[in-house]
Amino acid sequence: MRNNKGFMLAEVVIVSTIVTSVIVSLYTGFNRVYKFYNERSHYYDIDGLYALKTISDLLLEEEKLNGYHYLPTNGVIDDNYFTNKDLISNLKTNYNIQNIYFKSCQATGFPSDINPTMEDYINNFLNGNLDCSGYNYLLVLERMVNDKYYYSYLRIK
Amino acid sequence: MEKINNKGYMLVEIIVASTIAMVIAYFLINVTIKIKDSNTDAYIDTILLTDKMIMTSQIMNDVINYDILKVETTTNSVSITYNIDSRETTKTLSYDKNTKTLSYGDYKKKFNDKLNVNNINIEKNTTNGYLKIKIPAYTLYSDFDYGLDLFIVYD
Repeated sequence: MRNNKGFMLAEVVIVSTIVTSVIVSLYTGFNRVYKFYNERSHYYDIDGLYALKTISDLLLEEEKLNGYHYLPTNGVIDDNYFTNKDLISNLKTNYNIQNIYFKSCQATGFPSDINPTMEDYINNFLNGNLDCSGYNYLLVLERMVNDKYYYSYLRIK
Repeated sequence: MEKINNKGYMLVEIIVASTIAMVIAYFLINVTIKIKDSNTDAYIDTILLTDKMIMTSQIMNDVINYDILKVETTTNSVSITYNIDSRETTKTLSYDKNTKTLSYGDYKKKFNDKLNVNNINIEKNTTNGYLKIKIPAYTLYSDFDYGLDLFIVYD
């Protein structure tokens, strides 16, 4: 006697399990890609890049890139570091700049009290990924727009 | 004689199987819609960010590569004179709100239809020697500014 009982339920359960696992793995994979996409748009900020270029031009103009000028001990530069304080203050207001990090071109040695997003940025984008050959300094910019952090970096010769 | 079992599937079996299938189908459709929405968001975001990047670099490349000789502003346009190959070249930046088009010299770029673009805002500070140019542009769903936000330093 052939027994067909229970076949349909077992089939549904097995096929559903396979399909669900495939879709779930696709979903997690896509989410990871989307997360990296978002990180990329936050960590390669176009306005921040041009702001950094302006800052580096100002540093050059004020002769702070000649190798003799002191670097900030905590890696962060404020308005007082510049001769033209009004200009830098206006630039910071315009781009909602929270912090400007100015240091030798090595990703290590950032202040210990940085926020977790910045820490993530340093670990994922700077540490080990930065080619400093031929570059002496590193400028990193932290902007906050609509409660979200945006970062950019610029290597300077 | 051996008796064949012709009873087919039990009702409860069909109900249980259908319920499981429907729950899983609902979950899968939900996930698929979420993936599609995220993909669309990322696609639009990429287009708008690329446009912003192209417009910004079009202007900033001149600012970075050439000396600025003169800056003249009106309420809705700014003319920047550069020293390009020892010749004075003036490029005017303006925005036409009706056609949603940005003009800079010969370059013209229409803002994406998905953007609500505000009027151009120009601020010239002769004391510190800088020029701020803003054309804020937002989508209905995001607070991110996809428009122009320039800060140009000149002597």
